[in-house]
Amino acid sequence: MKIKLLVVISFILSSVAFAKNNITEDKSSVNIEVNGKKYTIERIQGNDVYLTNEFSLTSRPSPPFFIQPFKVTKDVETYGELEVIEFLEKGKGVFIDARLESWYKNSYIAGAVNIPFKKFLKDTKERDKILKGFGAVKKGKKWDFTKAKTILFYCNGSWCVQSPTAIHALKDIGYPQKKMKYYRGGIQSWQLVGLTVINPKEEKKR
Amino acid sequence: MKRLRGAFTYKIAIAIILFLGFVIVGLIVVLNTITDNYNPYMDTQQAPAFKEEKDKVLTTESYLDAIEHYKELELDDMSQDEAKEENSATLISQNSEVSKSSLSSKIDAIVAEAL
Amino acid sequence: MKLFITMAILVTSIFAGKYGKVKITEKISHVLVFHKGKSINIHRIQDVKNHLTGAYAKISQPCPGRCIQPIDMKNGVETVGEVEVISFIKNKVNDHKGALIDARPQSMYNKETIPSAINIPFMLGDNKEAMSDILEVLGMEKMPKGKWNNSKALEIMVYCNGPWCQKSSKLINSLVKMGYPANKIYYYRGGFQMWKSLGLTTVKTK
Repeated sequence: MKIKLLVVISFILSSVAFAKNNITEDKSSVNIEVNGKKYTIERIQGNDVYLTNEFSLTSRPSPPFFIQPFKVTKDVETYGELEVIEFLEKGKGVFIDARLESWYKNSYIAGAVNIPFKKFLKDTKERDKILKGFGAVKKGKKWDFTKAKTILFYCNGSWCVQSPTAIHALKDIGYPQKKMKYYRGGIQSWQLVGLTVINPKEEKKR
Repeated sequence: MKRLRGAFTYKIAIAIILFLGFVIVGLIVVLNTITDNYNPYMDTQQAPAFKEEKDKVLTTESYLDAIEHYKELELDDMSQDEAKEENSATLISQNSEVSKSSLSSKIDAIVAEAL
Repeated sequence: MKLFITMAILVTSIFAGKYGKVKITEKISHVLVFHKGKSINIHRIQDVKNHLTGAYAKISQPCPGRCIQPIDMKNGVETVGEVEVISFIKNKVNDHKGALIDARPQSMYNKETIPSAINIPFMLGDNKEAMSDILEVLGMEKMPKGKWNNSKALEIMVYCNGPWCQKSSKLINSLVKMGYPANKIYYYRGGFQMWKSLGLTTVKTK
């Protein structure tokens, strides 16, 4: 009886000592490759880490930083962290950081490419190039999106309107809503659950 | 003659006050309708000229300016010790008078008995 | 002319309001709600330099235990965000046509919660007798042979600590198992952590 109790206690203690902060019960980290770069996404380890950077600010002036509705449009699916990770693992499409370049240069979610939302707003050669890169075909002034990739957008957080603006602009020119996904939580929620963020300035220092 | 003039000025004053009153009421109605119809995603739509300066940020163009401006605000003061929670948590007493027939009282009673 | 200008300024300043610097949405700057009979104004903290601090700023969470939850419960229950919760409180809870439910233990609920929320600790999910009484209070009608008539069931929104908390989904699953209509249940996945990260009003019960 005493031995059994000892075994149970030591098992519990060891599991506590080796306890890791996993992403889900069966996933502790995820390895992805985007545009030739490799990243590992995992949750921050330890048990006393707090968010203290600019993403812990609670009250950005509104206007213009209103809280965004859960759904950006009727048929664009809203993603959470797990869905973003699955999107990256399975290479389901293009993961886009829709913020202005200066925000991206400070920090971005592992695996994201930066296409500032401004570039989607007007009919320009640059937008043509981007959309063709997604597999869209321009016929005169109209677009054929049948072979276009699925694109997943994020920006700063649930109070950020940059990615919703990009989604609305693309919806207006006919990009299929089912081929667009919206990670509403953005880099703020990503950090609040302790997931990996890339800081280019720190990387350069190394 | 003087009496007639006095009466006349009095009538004009009332007319002016009434007129101003109608104008103000009209302004309120118009302001309300315009805020209801406003769609910040239409970048071709311009904010009405008589709206306050700060409301102009709702157009896409001025929104971009707002982002640039916001970044210039001091974001360096990150000291946790100085952070203050401005009236975010309102304190209420558990003995606040609540009708026993209210939903929350009924649920509280069931929970109290079960736990 | 001067009188006209002063009246115009007065009118527009009425619209700007006390909570106009950091609004909730474009149209909503504050909502009056009732919590245990007391009226409380839900608004955002107006100080643009305010940070999220304390327990809810913690980003290191153990998993197993506090694993990141999927965005969709995949059981017919819709996931919502802060804007939907606030509209729900304004339009349904205030008129006794809906209930906002905090699924956390009583001590956490008393310590700090969302104004207008009622507390149904998730552990009660296993207590059939208590759950039966709760279902009746929420508008379900007992029928013979252990069945329920759900035609008058209230719409309910359920939340707990955050996107890594399972308490709300556990309570929701208990309710659905007992026959509560899934299309009348909403899952506020962001929970108390996201509510606080946006500087929204909270209430403490002494």
